[in-house]
Amino acid sequence: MDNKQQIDQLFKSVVENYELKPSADVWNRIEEDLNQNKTTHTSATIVRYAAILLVIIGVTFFALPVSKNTPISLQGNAIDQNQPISALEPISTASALIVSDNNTVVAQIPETVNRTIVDDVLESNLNTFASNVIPFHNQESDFIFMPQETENEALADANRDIIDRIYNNDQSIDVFGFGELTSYEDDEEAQLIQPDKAITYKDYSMKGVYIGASGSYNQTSIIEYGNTFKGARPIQPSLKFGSSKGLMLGYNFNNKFGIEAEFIYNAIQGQNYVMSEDEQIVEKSLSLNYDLIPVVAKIKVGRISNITNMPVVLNYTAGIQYGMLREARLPQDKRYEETTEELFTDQDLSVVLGLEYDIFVQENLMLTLGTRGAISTDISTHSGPLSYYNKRNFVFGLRAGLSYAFN
Amino acid sequence: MKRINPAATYTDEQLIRQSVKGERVAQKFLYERFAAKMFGVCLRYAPDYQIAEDILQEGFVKAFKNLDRFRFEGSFEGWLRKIMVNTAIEVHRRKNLLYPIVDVDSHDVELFDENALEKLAADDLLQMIASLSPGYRTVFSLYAIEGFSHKEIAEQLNISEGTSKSQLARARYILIEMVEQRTGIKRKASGQ
Repeated sequence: MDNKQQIDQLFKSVVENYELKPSADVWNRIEEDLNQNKTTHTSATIVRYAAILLVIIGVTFFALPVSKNTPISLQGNAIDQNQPISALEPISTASALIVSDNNTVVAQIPETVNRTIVDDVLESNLNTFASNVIPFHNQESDFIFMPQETENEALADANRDIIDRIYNNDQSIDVFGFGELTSYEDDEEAQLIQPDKAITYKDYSMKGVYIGASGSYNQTSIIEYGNTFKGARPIQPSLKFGSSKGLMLGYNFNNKFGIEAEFIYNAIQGQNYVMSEDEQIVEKSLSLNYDLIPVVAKIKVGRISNITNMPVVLNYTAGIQYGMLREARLPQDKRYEETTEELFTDQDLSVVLGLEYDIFVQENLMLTLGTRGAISTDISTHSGPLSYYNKRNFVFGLRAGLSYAFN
Repeated sequence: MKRINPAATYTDEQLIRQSVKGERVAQKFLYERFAAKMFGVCLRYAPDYQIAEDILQEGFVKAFKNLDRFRFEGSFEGWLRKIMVNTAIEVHRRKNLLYPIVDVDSHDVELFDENALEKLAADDLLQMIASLSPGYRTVFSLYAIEGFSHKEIAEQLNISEGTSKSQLARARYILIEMVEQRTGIKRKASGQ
């Protein structure tokens, strides 16, 4: 054997399988480190949920096609000749628009369309217009008011041209309102046409009662103040999911505010956890079954969907929930097998916060999709062992419902 | 009544699978099963118990965090040992404790009397390794005990192969002196 190998071998043979128990403190430090990681992990989960939620909100808001000021259809529909031009939907850049009397068209003509016509019109003497009409011009578009009767031939031609375009459904010209139009073709008599006003969310009053059914799927947990997870019998919480069904009764004061009560039957809540019992690692599930009555106020923000041409409403909900404990079970835990119900209060209140979409699928039928969270008052009776700490139900989940409105 | 150690009733695999789920009890059982062996590993890379325990702690935390990567293909002990050694190397690098190159002519290390060696307990030898300067200690442990090549050591410690070789030689030289001192037995006369 080589000399060098000998010294190496000496150390290797003696030291390689050397064992020594480290001080007991090392495990505590490892556990501490792992708990720290756990905390980060929990907050990471919360952040993830929040992010998913934001994405859902964002996607829904931006991906849903929303109706803009749609051009008025010129097809058909005679109106009363003497009916004045109705008020125009305000155009963001056109607050100075003034509506004319009869025989007038108000149109938005983008620069891409026959600019000459517009320039001609604008160059015309203001006096050629009706005295209570002014042309309006901004950077993007020209809004012109076109009296049919005018002594200015150029303007009359321009008007005819634009009116023809409108008749021919030139999509580049947005018409915001008019009294009557005369087709100059064929020297026909003037046709009276009623504009279809673009529908906006404001046009829906929503006022009235609605009823519906809902279901939810929640992650449930029990938050214990102080610390539960240290000590001789380490308990580790794990995820528990529960579902519930309910009946809703709501009232909308208008399209901005509403109130809603719900009866939720047999909602399953509680907490799963892992612990060591009789030196075994066991999974346990604490089930708390509740009947719940949440009463929430809703603040509504709505728009009109281009797909359904009906409102989509975002509801910010907040309220109070009354909970009645139907049953408390902890079948696998020998400590509490008999006494589980005594550990929890019969009634509690929760604060409820949520974000929900009402999607109208028919005029009186709406689909609700959203998310809700609730945190309760102390549900511990503080009787029995390990009852020193306050306990609160924390429930967070997705909710869907279908309701019918009477209005 | 005979009391059975509960941890002993689980196989490594059972404990590992439970530990992956984050179950603390299983992690503790697993730790207790391997702590002494791994502490033995850490001691070879540390000047004292405290730093060895630091390495042990860091290694186990790392192991638990990466436990899902263990594929049950080799022995768990080997996997864990590798983590401990890597952690020791990291700690070593972090502290930047490598001493400057000390080039030592490769001494011909001479044979000891076998009897002298038997008198040395593992504790003594570990004590000797611990008393080496960090660079020597790490290189010697990696080469002589873990079986790393100079090339691997050079890569791990970010030094040249030459440095690794010279540090090893120097470490051996010092260890031999220590053995001599401890046993009171001189080396046999050189065969030259």
